[in-house]
Amino acid sequence: MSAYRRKNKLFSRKKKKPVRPKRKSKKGFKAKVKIFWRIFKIVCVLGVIAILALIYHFRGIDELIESKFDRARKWDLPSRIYSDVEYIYPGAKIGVSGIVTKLDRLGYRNAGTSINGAGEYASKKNSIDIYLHNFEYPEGQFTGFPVRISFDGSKVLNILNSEGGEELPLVKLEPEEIASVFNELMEDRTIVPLTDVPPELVEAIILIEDERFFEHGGIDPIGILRAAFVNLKAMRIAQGGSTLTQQLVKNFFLYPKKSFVRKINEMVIAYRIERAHTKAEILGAYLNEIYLGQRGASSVSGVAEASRLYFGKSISQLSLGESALLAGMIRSPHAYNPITKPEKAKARRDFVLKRMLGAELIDGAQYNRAKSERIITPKRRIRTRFAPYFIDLVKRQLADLYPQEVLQSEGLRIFTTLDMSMQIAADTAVVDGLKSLEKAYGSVLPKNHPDPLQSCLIAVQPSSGYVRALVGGRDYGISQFDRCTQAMRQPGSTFKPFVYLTALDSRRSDKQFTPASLIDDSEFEIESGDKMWRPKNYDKKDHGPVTLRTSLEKSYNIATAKLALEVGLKNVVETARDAGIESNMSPVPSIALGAIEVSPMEMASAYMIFPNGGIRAKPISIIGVMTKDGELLEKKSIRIKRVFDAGPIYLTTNILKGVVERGTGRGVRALGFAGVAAGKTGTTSNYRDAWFVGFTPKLLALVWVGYDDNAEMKMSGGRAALPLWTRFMKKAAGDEQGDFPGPSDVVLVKVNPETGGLIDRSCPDWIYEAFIEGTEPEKTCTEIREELQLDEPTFKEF
Amino acid sequence: MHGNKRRVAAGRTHLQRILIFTLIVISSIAISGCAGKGRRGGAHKKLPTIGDEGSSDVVRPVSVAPVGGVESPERKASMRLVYAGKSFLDAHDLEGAENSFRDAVNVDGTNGIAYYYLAYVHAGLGERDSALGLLDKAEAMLSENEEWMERINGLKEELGVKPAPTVETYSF
Repeated sequence: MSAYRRKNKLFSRKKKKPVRPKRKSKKGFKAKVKIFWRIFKIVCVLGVIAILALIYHFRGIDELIESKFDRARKWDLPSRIYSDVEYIYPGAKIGVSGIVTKLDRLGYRNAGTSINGAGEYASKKNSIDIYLHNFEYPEGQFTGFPVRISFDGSKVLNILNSEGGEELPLVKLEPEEIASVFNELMEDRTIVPLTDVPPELVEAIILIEDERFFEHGGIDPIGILRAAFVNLKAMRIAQGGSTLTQQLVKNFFLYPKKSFVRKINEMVIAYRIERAHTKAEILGAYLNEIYLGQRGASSVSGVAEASRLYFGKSISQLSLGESALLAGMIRSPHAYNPITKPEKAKARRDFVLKRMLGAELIDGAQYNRAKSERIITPKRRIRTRFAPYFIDLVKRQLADLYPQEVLQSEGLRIFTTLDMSMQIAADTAVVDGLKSLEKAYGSVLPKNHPDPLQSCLIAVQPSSGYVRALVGGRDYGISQFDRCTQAMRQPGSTFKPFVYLTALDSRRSDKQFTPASLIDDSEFEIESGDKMWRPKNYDKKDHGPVTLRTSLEKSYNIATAKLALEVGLKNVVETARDAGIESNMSPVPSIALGAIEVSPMEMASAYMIFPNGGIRAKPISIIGVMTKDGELLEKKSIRIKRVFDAGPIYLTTNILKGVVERGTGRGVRALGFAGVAAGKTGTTSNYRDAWFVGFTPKLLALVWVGYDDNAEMKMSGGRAALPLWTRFMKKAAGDEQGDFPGPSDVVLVKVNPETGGLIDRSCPDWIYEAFIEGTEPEKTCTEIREELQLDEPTFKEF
Repeated sequence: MHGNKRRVAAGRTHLQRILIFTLIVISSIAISGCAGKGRRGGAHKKLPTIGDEGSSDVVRPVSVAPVGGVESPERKASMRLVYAGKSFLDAHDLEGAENSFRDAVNVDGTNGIAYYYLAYVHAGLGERDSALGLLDKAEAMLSENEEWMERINGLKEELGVKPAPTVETYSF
């Protein structure tokens, strides 16, 4: 059957069964009712589903509000890590520019010619006025006051309290905030109670952001209509219709992307919050939540943190003009940033002030005064990341004390030993020093090496063990591996002082030696394990009988190895262990030349016994941990203990001074470091590691240079590490002339440097050599020379 | 007659006493002179210090605590902090005192008095090992000052340590 015929048949069938009109309409009505009923049922079911979904959604919203907003702690507060304090006192070696640099880092504002409030400074040629910040130390709250510091060139002359006029013995500059420990949101925030926020700031915010805040219930239809009208009139988005509550909801609960669903949710949550909370609670939350810009990768949230960032002061110290600007910035923190866009910021402030005047929140006099205020901001911080390797070290140590979650949420305040000025000097020394090395010695460095030359610099204060600076690599952005604390490298000749210390300490050595004792620097071999071990000198020569001093100053390997065998290898290991080397050490002959693996931090720690007169200080990087409410959670005390007699330590230190004056470390002098110093170079076999560990009586610094993959670099410690050390120490230690203190049982005797014998007419060359009283040489230089059958003095350079 | 004899007898006794006293003084000087030649014991030879040596063949190194000596700015500032710390001590505020003394050590790492007081606070806080370490440092700085050495030894004794220090195996 064709389709046409089927169609016709259908039509014809209809015709065959005619329906009466009445009956037809009754049937149609029934069908319609049936359809309607079906639709109604579907609608009802859908409605019930929708209602259930809405109930579920609202319950979810309620739970969300309950879990996030109703709890006492609404925000995760980052923990803050601080440097050590800095004392300024009459006679301190710091000039106006040094103080200004420090104040800029601390967020003080240059007020021009006079200071009016906390956090401001005004500098002149020979003096500076500072209004010190308030700061909460572990020992209590410090309330800032104005001081005047006068200078005599690059030294502090005196310090006056500008309020009382009395002379002060010293002032303390608060620690610098060097890092924060954030959660994944990276929000930097300082919580402030509503009562501590200046009323004019609160009024300005309400006026500008939500004039009818106290009249609506979370959603403001009038505000929405008004905004729509203004926007239509302007043909652009000139005004928002969101209430403060909606803004709070948007920032606190929801994602930033605009959508219709988000807007609905925003309204619903705002309504629910308004029903459950007072206006004061909502306002308090808003003031702490609102986004007010960026500080590097972290966002600045809340008015208190914004006050610190843009005005360098506590929120309670804001002026009317600053309050108006902060209120005006909420609309667009980037566009009205007073640090980067001062003109736009001023215009915005003036607009807010005008609105405040119009709303009779301020009078004409206040308006004029605030409008004429100069907007003073702290200097823009170019660097946002300070001492990253040190921060990582601190974080690793904190991880032993607190879970990461606590560090990211509890707003702990962590006080460290870092000296920011030294850290900056260390950063510069490493970065510039490595660049100079690569430029000067590019020809000896491996060609096409995939990774750059790396370095580590540690500075510690021997008297306390405080880690003052730490640079674990040349670029933290590229490599976060900390070569100071995580790398294990061979120390090479920097280990030798522990051999000599053992020899010079009668309690530790199998045989008594003095710095003038002779040891034969002639080739030998000894069985070590299954092999024969034959040490060689750096210059591939033998030097015959040499004094211990000469041997260490010139870093002779053969003489040192012989000495280690004579004093007892186990004794050498024990000495190194007592000094602080914790890594594996075996009493094998090669240990004398540093054939072990240690971390640079271990070496720095062990060397502290020398400037410290035999007292070991454990390195400390954290001083204390405080809660955000000021409760002290953790306190780290100085941990020191005498482990060596002062006499042998002095003798060894005195030889290490010689290393710098005329030995392998004489480059220190050639590069212009004039202060009293001692130290030791170190180079490992095949030039894989270059070291210099040097110290003054006050400061010890260690530098390591090398490649991460142990590639050869053909540079010795004196050539590669020493220049970086000198760069750093010239800035950090200056030219301090105070010497290492000598114990009462030490005498200095004129001896001939070649033979170690007492001087006589035939050998006029002499140096003052240190001896423990009673161990001075008895033979003259001539007598020793005759015994050794030496002809002419050979150490004319002494 | 009897009275004269008594006077003569008394006179002889007086003379004998002077002689005995003189002998004791001479022997003491001789003994102390010999002791000076011993390796570590007794008083040391009086020698010029390096820097003031003239043409002397044997001198002493600079004595303890020269870095920021007594009149240095560091020492003055450090001593101010020590006084502040003592005020905290007077008020029985050990934590405040500790912070001040620690700052004093920070400002001048050669101020033995600051180390002594820091040790004193640590002893008060029951941190014996730490106190003893700090006393070691104080001793190194103040070894030529009898009064301070007495205090240091006194505190060591209170902590149950014999005044003469011994080098022990070190462990934190």
